[in-house]
Formats: sequence, structure tokens, C-alpha cells
Amino acid sequence: MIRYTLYFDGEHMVVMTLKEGRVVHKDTFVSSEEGKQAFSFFVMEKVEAPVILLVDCIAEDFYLSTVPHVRGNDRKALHQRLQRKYFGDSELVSTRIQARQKDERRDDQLLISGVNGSPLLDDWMLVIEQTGIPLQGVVSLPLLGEDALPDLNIMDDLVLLISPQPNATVRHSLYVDGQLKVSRLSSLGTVVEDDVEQISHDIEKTVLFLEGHAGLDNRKTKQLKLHYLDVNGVGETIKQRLSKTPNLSQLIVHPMLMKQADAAIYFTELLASSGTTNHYAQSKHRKHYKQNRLALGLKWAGITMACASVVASILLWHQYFTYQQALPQLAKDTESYLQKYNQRTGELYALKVEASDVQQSVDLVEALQQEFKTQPQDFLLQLSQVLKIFEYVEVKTVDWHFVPKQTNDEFELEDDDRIQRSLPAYRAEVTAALTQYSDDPRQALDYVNRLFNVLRKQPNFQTVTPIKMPFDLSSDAEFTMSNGTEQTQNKAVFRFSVIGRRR
Amino acid sequence: MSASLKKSVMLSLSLLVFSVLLLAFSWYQFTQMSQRHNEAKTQKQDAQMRYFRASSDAQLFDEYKERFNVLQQKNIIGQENRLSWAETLHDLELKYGINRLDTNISPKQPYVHADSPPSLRWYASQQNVRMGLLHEGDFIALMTKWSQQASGLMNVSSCKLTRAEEITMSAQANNVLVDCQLKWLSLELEQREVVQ
Repeated sequence: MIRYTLYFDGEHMVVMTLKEGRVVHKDTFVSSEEGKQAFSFFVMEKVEAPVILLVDCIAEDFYLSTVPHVRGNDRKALHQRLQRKYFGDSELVSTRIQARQKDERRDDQLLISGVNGSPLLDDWMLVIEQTGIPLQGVVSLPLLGEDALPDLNIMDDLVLLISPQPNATVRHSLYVDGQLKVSRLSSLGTVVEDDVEQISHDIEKTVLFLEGHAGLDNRKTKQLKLHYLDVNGVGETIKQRLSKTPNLSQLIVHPMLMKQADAAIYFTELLASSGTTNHYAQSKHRKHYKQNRLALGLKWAGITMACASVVASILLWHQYFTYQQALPQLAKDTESYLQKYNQRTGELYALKVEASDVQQSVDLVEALQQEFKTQPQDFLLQLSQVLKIFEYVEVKTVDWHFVPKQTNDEFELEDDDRIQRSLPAYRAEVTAALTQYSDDPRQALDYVNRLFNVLRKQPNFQTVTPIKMPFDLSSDAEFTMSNGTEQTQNKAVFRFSVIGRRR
Repeated sequence: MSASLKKSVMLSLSLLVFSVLLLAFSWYQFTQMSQRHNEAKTQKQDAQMRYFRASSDAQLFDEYKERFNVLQQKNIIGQENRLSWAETLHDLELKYGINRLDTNISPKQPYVHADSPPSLRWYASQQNVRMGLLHEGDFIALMTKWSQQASGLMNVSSCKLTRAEEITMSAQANNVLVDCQLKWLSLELEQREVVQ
């Protein structure tokens, strides 16, 4: 993603083009009418997203002040008074509470910074306002230097960061415990011709200034660490040059990468990565920026909402047409099933009966037909077959009764199929008489017993039970017998019952 | 409020109204069509289910139809045919020379079959037959024939054969007296209204 950052070096406005946090291009515009016009065209054509203005100019000043600790509106009023005191009506001002005193009244220690008396910057601010690009913030390069310390792995408490800047200037910034205390921008090329000599001389002057004005005594001066941001490759030479100067022999050189051979690029990339967005931006710029963000948000929200609703509608209409296309087929299928239903059930309609009733009626009737095949003539046939070999037996009566599997009132239902099968098919009681042996009980009984034995072997006879024998020889019965009379013959009557096996 | 903000507010409001109207219209049309589709689908499923059920019923009916018709023709299913019973017995009387024949048939009574569903209504008619026969062989032949020719579901409940004390060798002799009880079963199927 491409972003733009504006860099004002005191004379020029530079538009830095960043891609993935790295400066890939810079366009410099001079502070003339043509330059401003070109700048206007450039930003109006290319810049849409909010921009940050990074200020690095000689008109920026820093003041330290200790004030009573107050809150709320009192604090605001106090800060405004101090800002007016140092920077008059300038709008590019800032007050930061850096610390509180650890003893006495625990007053606030303030850093008041601002840009005052820079008509060029004022003109550029006006141009920026006219272009309508949203200004997210105005960032002070010396204040941004606080983020440079951890970036350069500088852990010292007392640091003087020296960085050659565009337009043949060198910035000297003093940081105590990571906080900016004072910063100055000096120009080169006025006293000594050699840059190394000039920079070295400038550093000596700065340290002298600090000793005089910032209250650095000899002990503290010894603790002061000088760090040189070597963008022009002369760091080591300066270090050698300063090695002869007391207290300045510990210059630490930070060589910059080739592509960052410009402090402006270094600080612009630092700004992109640090997250710092504003030090000085005035309320009207901030308001413009916020409105711009709000407008952008609303615009995108509206577009997103419209797109989402269009997509949702497309899905709904897609489903609508899918359903609509399916309707004729559904109707056709329904009609087809109804036709097939009518065809299939025509015969059943005529009978007005349920298929299950038909099935059950047929099954039940056929079961009964099978059961009712048990008839008296079968028994008589089988009995007559046996009696062919027992010629002295004369049947008097046969009383045959069908035994149904169930009856309306007397049959006991049996769930066990085995018991069902053992149920008799019929029972018959036969009364017969012997035409021989009526006067010979032994022979008669033997003859009848043989008859019973043969009957019992008949496959369809389940049981054959004698009811009355031709002669009753039991001890408790009355035994009578006479010879040669008709009455004697009548006494050879016997009875037995047969229970038929179910087929 | 800046001009760009106003423009954005108007734009987003317009888009909001557009989105709401579009979604509302689309949703209304979709729900209407969805309802129609669901109704059509339900109708199809009903018809399909009825067809499958009817198909299954018809298949079952086809399987039993022939046997069912036979039972109907034999007056086992449907109304009993007493005339047929009387005619058959008269034929047998002539064929076997039954000298004496007394018979009566009691009125048809409902009959309970324990395994039968309530939709099948069973009936039974009791018949008593008294005959005088020349020989018990006639009884065997007569009963065999009768059971074959019977138009109905005949069940011989009991039979008592009594041999006469005096056996007479005459065509009109009643040497064997027969006393039988028969049951004629029939059933009717409940008439049902079939939904078309």
C-alpha cells in the first residue's frame, strides 16, 4: 500500500512516497509560487489518504519550565499562557509534561515547543489547507527523535544526538532519560570550509552552550554521550577530530544504510514505524481530518451495505427463480402420481375394500378350510380298515365330535404353537359288540385288547382309550356270566374313545 | 459540516434506503415464492405417498385377488347361499337314495373369530341333518361328495351314527341312522370409502 508523508526542511516541501514503510520516492517542491502550484497539482492528483507533515526547521524552539501541578481547565489555561509567552499567536505549539519534581512542591516539569516566525511554513500550511487533503498531524522531528533512541539502541541517560539534515544543516538534540530537553539546528559553510571541521566545531559549540545554558556541569558533561547519525560518511573522521577534545572523546557513530543516506528519509521511515501521528496539528486541521475520516467511513459503509444488500438480493432472486423453475415439474410430478394412483387403485375402488382386509380374509378362510377338512367319514374309513381284520367286532354306534382350534365360547387360546399342534382334531366314542367269545372272557378281553393295540398304531389316532370292556373283572365290580342265552351275548358290548390327531 | 461529509452522509443515506427497499422487495418476493414452492412440494409428497401406499395395496391385492374371487364365488366371502345348500343336499338325496332326511338351518348368527380383525364380520348358520341310510358306506360317500360340492365353508361339528338293531336287506331300509350338526361360516368385509 502506498502512503505519502510531507517533509518540510525549512525551505522545501518534500513529498515522501512510502511503500510498506520504506521511502521509495521523494518529490521536492521549492517554496515559490510555481513550487506551491506544482505541489497542489501533485497532491490533488495522487494523495487521497490523510498525510502527516514532518517539520524540521530552524524556527522551531524548545523551552523547559517548572510550573505548579494543576489539573483540568487550570492546567489548560496555564499551558496556553506559557505557549503565548514563548510563541505568541503561533498555532503550531505543544506543551508536554515530562516529569514531576520528586521533592519540594512536586511541580510539573514542562517542555514547551513550537514553531514561530516561519512565514514559509505558514504559507505551506495554507497551501495544504487549500488542497483539501486531510492533515492527520504535524510532527516535530526533534520530538520524533525520542523514538530514534530505542531504534538506534541508545540506552544512555544523557544523549546528544547529532544528525546532518538537508540544506547543509546539522541538528543537535539533547535527550535526558529519553526525553527531549533542547534542540538546535545549525547551518554549515560559514566559518570553516571543511564540513568535518565545521561539524566538529559545531559540536564543541553545542556542548559549551549546554554547559552554559542547560546547566550541564563538568561531572554531567562527562556523562554526556555523543551519538552521530552518520548519513554522510564522515562520522569516523569527526570522531578522530574530537578525540583530542576533553569530554568529547566518546563520540558514537551510527552508520546509516546507503539508501538512508539522508536523515530526512531515516526520520520519515521512523515516523511510519513509530506510530507517532501528531505533535502540533491545530484543531481545525484535526477537525478536517476527522471529518474526512468520517466521510470516508460513511461512504465505504454505505457502499459495503449496498453491495451486501445487492449480493443478498441476488441470492434471494436466484433462489426465487430456482423455486419458480421447479414449480411446473412439481405440478407435473404430482399429477403423474395422482394418475398412477388412480390407475393402480381402480379395482380396489370398485370393491371398496382394503387390501389388508382381502389378504387377511383369504388367509383366515384358507386356514379354516384346512382345519375343517377333518370330517367323520375319514375316521369311519380308517376304523373300517382296522375292523376288516377283526371280523367278530360289530359297531353299534359312532359318536364323532369335531374339536375346533377355537370355539366361540369354550376354546382356550394357546399362544404356544407346540400346544396348538397337540390339540386333538376330533374325538369319537365307539360302541361295539363281539359276535364271538361272549362266553369266554379271556378270549374276549384278549381279542378286544388286540383290537386296541392295532387301533393305537394307526397314524391318525392320537389316543385310544377303553371306556368299557366286554367283561368287567375289577374287584369292586359285579361279575356275571351265563351260558347259551341271548342275554350273555349282549354283555360282550364294549366301548372306547378315539382322539384324532390334527393334520 | 464539510461539503465532503455532507456528500458522504447523503450518499450513505441514499444507499441505506436503496438497500432496505431492495432487500425488503426481494425478501417479500422470495417468501411468496418459497411458500408456493413448499405447498407444491407438500402436494407432490402427499401424492407420492398415496401412490406408494396404493401401489403396495394393489400389489397385495393382486397377490390375493384370484383366491379372493374364488372364495367369493363359493359364497364364503359375501352373502351365504342357502338355496345352493338345499339344492346340493337334494341332489345327494336322489343320488344316494336317502330314505329319510330331516334337516333344518337356524338363522345366521354373528360369529367371533379370535384371530380376525374387526373389519371382517363373521357369520355362522347351524344346520341339523337327520338321515336314514342303507349302509354306512353311503354315509362316507355322501359326506365326501357333500364337502366337495358345498357352496360355502362347511364345518361338520358332530355326527352320530347308530346302527339299527335289525339289519334289513332292502333298498328302503334305514339300517344306519345319522344325526349330524353342521356349521356354515361366511364373512363380509367392511366397505370403506377410498380417498381419491
